Amino acid sequence: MLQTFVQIVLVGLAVGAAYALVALGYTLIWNAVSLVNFAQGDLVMLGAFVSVGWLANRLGMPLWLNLVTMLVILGLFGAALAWGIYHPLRNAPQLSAIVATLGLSMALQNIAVIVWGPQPLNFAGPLGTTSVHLFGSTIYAQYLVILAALAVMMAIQHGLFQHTALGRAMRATAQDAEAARLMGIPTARIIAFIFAYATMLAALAGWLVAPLSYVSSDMGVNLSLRAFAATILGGFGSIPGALVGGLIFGVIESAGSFYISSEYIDVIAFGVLIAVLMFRPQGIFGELELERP
Amino acid sequence: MVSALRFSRRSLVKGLAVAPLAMPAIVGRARAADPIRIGISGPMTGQFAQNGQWMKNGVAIAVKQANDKGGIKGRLIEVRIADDLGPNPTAAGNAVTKLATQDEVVALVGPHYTPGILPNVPLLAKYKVPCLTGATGPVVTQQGSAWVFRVRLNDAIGADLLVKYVVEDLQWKKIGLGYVNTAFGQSGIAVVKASLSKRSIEPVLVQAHTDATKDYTSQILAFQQAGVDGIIVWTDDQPAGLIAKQSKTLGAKFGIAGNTAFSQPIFLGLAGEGADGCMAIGEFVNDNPDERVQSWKKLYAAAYPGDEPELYATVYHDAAKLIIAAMERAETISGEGIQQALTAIRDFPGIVTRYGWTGNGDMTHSGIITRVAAGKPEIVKVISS
Repeated sequence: MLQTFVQIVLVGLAVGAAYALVALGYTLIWNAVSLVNFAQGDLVMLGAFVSVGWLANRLGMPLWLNLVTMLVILGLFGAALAWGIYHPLRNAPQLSAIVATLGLSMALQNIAVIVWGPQPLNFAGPLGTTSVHLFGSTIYAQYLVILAALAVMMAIQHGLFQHTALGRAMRATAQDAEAARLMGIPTARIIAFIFAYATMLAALAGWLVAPLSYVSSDMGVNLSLRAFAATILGGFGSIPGALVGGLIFGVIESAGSFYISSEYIDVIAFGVLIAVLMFRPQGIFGELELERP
Repeated sequence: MVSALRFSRRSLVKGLAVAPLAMPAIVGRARAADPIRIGISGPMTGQFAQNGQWMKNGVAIAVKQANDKGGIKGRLIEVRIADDLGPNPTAAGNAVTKLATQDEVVALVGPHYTPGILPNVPLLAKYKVPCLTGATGPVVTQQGSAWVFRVRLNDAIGADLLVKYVVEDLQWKKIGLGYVNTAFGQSGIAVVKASLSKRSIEPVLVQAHTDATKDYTSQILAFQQAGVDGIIVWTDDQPAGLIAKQSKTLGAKFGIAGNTAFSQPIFLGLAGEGADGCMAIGEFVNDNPDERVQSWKKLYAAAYPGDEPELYATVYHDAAKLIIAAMERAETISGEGIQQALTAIRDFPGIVTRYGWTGNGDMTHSGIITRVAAGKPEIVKVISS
């Protein structure tokens, strides 16, 4: 029983880690420009397709070079999104930019089918179908790769945000873009960098989860929905909240499916989300906004 | 001038009055050369788009063959396509409505998926358009529509035969069930449960998933913990592939059997080594040495180099052939004429099987049980209802 429990929790944490990476993207963009990027899940898909459909299958690029190249390509694509979608609409009603991201989402899914075809692509990942034995239970090694990747990314992000001028400029822009601009920070460029970084996080999530299932045009849809729920659970706008919310949501799904019912897993997972929000509307790490009467 | 004008007006009025009498002849001649439109409602985008592509390929070959011979009664056949997104009731309803009302097709191939065909059953009667579908959910023909013709084995028969095989031939005693939570999965697994119950077996565990489910670890572990001999799963191609792949990764020891999905190329591609040993009830494998299957393989490979015919292309090729045969036999090339002619078909030689209409709309009455070995499904049993 303990072995099964370990398996369930580890799988939940790994799946939750993927949610967390996407949720971080939502949070960073929201903090910087008050925009919910509904195409975030499709950037998961795009990262996986670029890596598997182009760099691996067509160019035969070695795995780690493939990963780095894909992240660079997607980072540039993210920056292009900031210039191509956010900037032209930054003074328009907020709804316009949100609708633009929804349109982008649909466009990316259909472009993926046109470019890479409708058949799902297989991706073995760094360790293929290797399983490891841990505490007497069998774990698919890719789950551990995902957890390790999240830990590494968080360490890199901490270093970037706390110890570099670029990171400080990103934090300043996220806290108050207007004040940051008045302090001489080139906010337009920093916003483009935030979009690029958020896109790279989503693309990394796609690269990490692809070996668990497959690469397809709709692979980001479910992931982004859950990542969005995780963002709310953790506290909208909170970076630790996105991380913890993702992990908790993953474990709830995994444990709920095993111990309660797979038939009602969405009811269970989203029921917990509703329950948390009833008692703590700002989410786990969110701050309650008080308005003066 | 006035007089001339009056004369002209009178002539015009006379001409207009006489025109309707002449119209049928003119329209009749025009219609004789007009193409006959048949429609495909299939998934052309999204997760199931590959299956839609195969549907299109199979129909295209049949239509080309007919057109190369001069068409039907001097009229060529034209194919109109609408994207129904697969098991999506809303999109499928829109696709069929568009094909019937805007494109004015006289017969339909698809929708393929049970959730896609169900909302269309009343629409097909309303538009008087016969539909040949591969949807296997028993619920599809339970409504007794005269406009739905099923060209694959009804799950009500197939699921029962599969249960008989695993219980009697493989001696499974403790059985777990899995299904995709759609009308297709629900109706298929209901037949499996009824069939098990008939043999005094209660499933030890029942698990549901959706087409969007990507991680089956907890479900596989639950089956393992329940100590099942095997699981019977009624689902779509992608979930089937993931269940087999992840069961292999987790070192699961139980057997896996299911609907046709567990023998199809998408399943084989996704499951990898996990596909080996999986069993399926189905109708078609392209390794069948039967002469018709082998010549179909050559014909398909010539039309689509690099691709191989699988169930979707083959069964919808047969469906298009059935429509063409019905059009040739029909008194009038209309929805009603084709519907009447289809009900008269009894022993039509297709590639998948010999088709024959029975009162409930079923046209397929035999199937095969396959087992995957070294990545290829092999026929282990041929069965007939």
